[in-house]
Amino acid sequence: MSAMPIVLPSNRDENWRYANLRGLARARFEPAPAPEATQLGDIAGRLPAALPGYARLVLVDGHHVAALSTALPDVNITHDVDAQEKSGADQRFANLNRRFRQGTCRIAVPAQAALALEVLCVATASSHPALDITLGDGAKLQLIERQLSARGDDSTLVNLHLAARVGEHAQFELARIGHHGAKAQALDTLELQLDVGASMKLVQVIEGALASRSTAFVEHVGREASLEWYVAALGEGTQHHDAFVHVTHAAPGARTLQCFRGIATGRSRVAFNGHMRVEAAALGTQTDQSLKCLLAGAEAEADVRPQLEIYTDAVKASHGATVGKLDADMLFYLLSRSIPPATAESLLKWAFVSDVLAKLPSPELRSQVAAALERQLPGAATRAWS
Amino acid sequence: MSQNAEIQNAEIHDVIGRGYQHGFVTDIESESLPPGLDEDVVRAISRIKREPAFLTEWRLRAFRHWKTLSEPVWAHVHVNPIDYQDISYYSAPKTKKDGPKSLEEVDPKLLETYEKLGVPLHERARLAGVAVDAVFDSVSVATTFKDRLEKAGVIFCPFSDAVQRHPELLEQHLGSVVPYTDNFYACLNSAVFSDGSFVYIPKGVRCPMELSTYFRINAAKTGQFERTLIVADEGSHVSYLEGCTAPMRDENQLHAAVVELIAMADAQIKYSTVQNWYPGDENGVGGIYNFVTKRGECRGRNSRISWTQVETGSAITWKYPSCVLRGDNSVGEFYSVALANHRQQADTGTKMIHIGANTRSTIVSKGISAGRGQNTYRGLVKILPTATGARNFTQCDSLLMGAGCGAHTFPYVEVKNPSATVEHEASTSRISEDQLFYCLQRGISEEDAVNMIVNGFCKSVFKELPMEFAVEAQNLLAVSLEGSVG
Amino acid sequence: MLVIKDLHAKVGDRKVLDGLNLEVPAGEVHAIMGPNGSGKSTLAYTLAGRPGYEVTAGSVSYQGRDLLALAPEERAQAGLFLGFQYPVEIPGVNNVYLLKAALNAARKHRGEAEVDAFEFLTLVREKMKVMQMDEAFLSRGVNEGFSGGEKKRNEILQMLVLEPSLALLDETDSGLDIDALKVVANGVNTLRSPTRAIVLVTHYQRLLDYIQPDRVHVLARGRIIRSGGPELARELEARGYDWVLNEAA
Repeated sequence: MSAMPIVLPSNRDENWRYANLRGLARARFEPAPAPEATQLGDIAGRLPAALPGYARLVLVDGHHVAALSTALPDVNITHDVDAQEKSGADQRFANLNRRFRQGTCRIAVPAQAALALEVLCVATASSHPALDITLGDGAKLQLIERQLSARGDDSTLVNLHLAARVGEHAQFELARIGHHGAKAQALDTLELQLDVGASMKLVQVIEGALASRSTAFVEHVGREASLEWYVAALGEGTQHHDAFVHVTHAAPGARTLQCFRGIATGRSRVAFNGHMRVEAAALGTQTDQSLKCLLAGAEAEADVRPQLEIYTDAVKASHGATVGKLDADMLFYLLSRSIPPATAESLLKWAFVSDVLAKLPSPELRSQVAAALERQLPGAATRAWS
Repeated sequence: MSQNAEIQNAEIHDVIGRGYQHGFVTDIESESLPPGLDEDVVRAISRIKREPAFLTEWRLRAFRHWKTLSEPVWAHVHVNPIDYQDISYYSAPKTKKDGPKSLEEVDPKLLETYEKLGVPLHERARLAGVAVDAVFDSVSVATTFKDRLEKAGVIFCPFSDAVQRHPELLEQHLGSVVPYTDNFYACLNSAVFSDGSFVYIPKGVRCPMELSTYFRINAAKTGQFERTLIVADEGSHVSYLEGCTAPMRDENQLHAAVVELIAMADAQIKYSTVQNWYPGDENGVGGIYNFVTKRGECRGRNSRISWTQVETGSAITWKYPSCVLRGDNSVGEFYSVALANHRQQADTGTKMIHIGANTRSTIVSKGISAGRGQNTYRGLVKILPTATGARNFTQCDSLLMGAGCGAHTFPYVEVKNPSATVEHEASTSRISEDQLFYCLQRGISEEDAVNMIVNGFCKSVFKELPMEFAVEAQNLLAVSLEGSVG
Repeated sequence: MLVIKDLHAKVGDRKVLDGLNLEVPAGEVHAIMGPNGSGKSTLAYTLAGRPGYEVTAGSVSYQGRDLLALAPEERAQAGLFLGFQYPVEIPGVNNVYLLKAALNAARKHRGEAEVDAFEFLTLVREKMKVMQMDEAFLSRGVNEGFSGGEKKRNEILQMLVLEPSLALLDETDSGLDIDALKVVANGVNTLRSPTRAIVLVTHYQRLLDYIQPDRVHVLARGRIIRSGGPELARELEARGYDWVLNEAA
């Protein structure tokens, strides 16, 4: 194992202003060993019900567990150590992943082929799952990536790295759900490239975990690629969720739509930083960002940064951001229809994040996510989504 | 020449004549301190201005702090290195030798601009730096209306006069909104500021007229460091206008001003700026570095501070007129038009810091990028836990005119009180081809159509300007955009 | 006044006009009718010189000049007026200001002096009466926040002030209730004169109840497939477009 010092970003780094890095200073990043065969039964019992139509891949602490996974020709586990570290504050967690990963899970969907796959990243201690995804031209991948804590005191650490190259006219749908324990630390770095005419849709639900931080870099490399990016973050207690998405439009005719819905209750904090860069070559690019936060706790906090960096005049870019409380008129309307206050509040919160939740790909996944949110939004899912 | 200026000149001769032990070149001809900056220069400035000890000490503290700071590095701004030892930190009011002797010697391009702006002939000469009488021109404005202002109890005078006549007010308020520790340029300004204006509006007084100042930089290799302090006591009102211009020079000149506004309970301050410092030429040679710190504090309940700015000049503009909303129910406003053409870089915006309950702020920013200009809006809306019921609305639009230009929007929204409401909207696009064609179909030339549409785009800001400034601002936009159509 | 010969035009890669011939003499009102997508609006935009509407063949002569050689603003200055189907909103630009700039551009082109502000306002107020428009209109931005009907009235008001030689009115009747339609028609009728020509582009016969055309043309598949007198419009109203299309096919 490497004895190199571990360098973390700090809040002074521009893209990390709103991240909660306190708990990480003392965190143990060295990965847990591969699970014993005797543990697998217990782990299997914690996994969510299988989703119809989806193959399954299970990584425990970053180690591929064949016994719990579907065997697939398009998936290979490699143990190369050639992952090059990159410079800059935004790459520090990715570099830790590169250093500590226990093999790289390579998913290559051949041209014109289609694959629906669920990847479950289970953590019992510290883990550094690594996914390397390639979509051939015209390929279609529906990927659901979920993270679970499987440890009594929930103090797990997941530091995921996901790289994807979406080939020409390929379609990549990625749903990401965290089912973390209350003391968990969740970190991830995504690096995505879109070729000519490629389309990518991400739907991410962030809840659970004491502190989470998502870092994503997306690049429209080929012309007329399209990107949709939906993120919902629900913070409660003293949780702290921070997401940063940097989208580079480097080719003509790019389209990006970004939608963030954050709810902070209690003393929690949600933050979203979406940076759109449009390079001179990206003529005819269109971007739109809609970032909304709901504050529903006496000491809750929200930070939003919709950023535009534009170097061509042939562009249409817009963004809207709001931070506020529940709409008093809507609340009153529901109360006047004899809905109890707690349910009314819950329903409105559900409606607030449903712009994102409704984009989740499979009905079974939607109901599993709804069940996971039941504690935070009691009664809402069954009423709004039955 | 005013009596004050004469005294100051005599002082310079006196100071310089004595000769400096620390490497000063004695140059009586230039009537200014030679380039360079150390504690003796700071002391010399203070001595020339016959400042009381508290101010000299304050300057020195600022200077000592400044030496510990390093220049800020900005991600989206390219700055040629500034040699702070190559700047003269004091230029006497009389520097006729520097300027052109008559209008014939002035660059015809500059005169053409004045013509288009409708600046009267005698004004043109003055603005072009022909008949230089004072670095700072508010004196004449002030004297014209001196009687009326005095009757109302309003103090409006050059900063150096205020040092002599109202030291207690300065000691109380100077640096209370922008401390010298604030940032690199504000700190430098605190050490070496040359002059500026001071305004005090007594309790319950509505200032009987708009107060205005025209700034300009004349001498070469001179930094300009004005300091403006406006105090509006309880229940008072004032509207203050600031115009800026500078002759063309092919080296960059530094302008690092500090403006502090203080609004007590129920007081209102409206501060309007039309900034047209020399922007450099089409290739980005020359132009003013406009690194300015402007901040107002709504100190009392129900107070209001409103910033309106039209920024068309300068090679680089770096300014964020801000409001600290401390008093309950206080209101902060920021209306801005910023234009970056050719190689100009404008990095401007505001900070609205909500501290008091039910504080409100409005931000309207209109950025225009043309040629290879880079225009950045950078703004912070911060709602602190004490700011119950705070509200902000931000509208931030950018217009792009030219394949090589850039428009950047970097807002920060930080909310720490759940009862607050913050809304931010922004859009970036080219001039709509539909709008353009509609105007052309009505027989209007493309250039006129573009001016019309751009002015329409800026209207919500222009309407905040006093009438005569609004007209100047519109003309200024048209002139600044010339040649960028098509 | 207007002579169009074998006009071919495309929008992007789409060929829309395909050998269109049309002649509109001074003093006449012509109606161009046709089903949706037949090229009616394209014809109007092409004549007005809208960027993106590319003429690939044919000629257009206007008052004996080559219209296609002129820039859009030159066509307007020479007296060609397009009443837009969807008038554009220009926020922050005052209605009256635009109108005055337009009138002065045309006057300058004709070698006339600019109108003074008072004279101009008197003129606009008089025309506003014809169009039954509210005084408040004077202080609003160009079409900013106007209802569909207000926008159409504004188009005709502009036309009345600018007094063009050739007016092309693109679907001016769409979206109007019957009262507004009468006002708009009345406005158009006041402009009729032996020295002017008016081309009404419309989908329905309704407008022609109030503005009597001298000639009616059916435009389909990018060319005029039938021309006739006012009775043709009534026949189209009664029988639909299909019979003409079938006969022409």
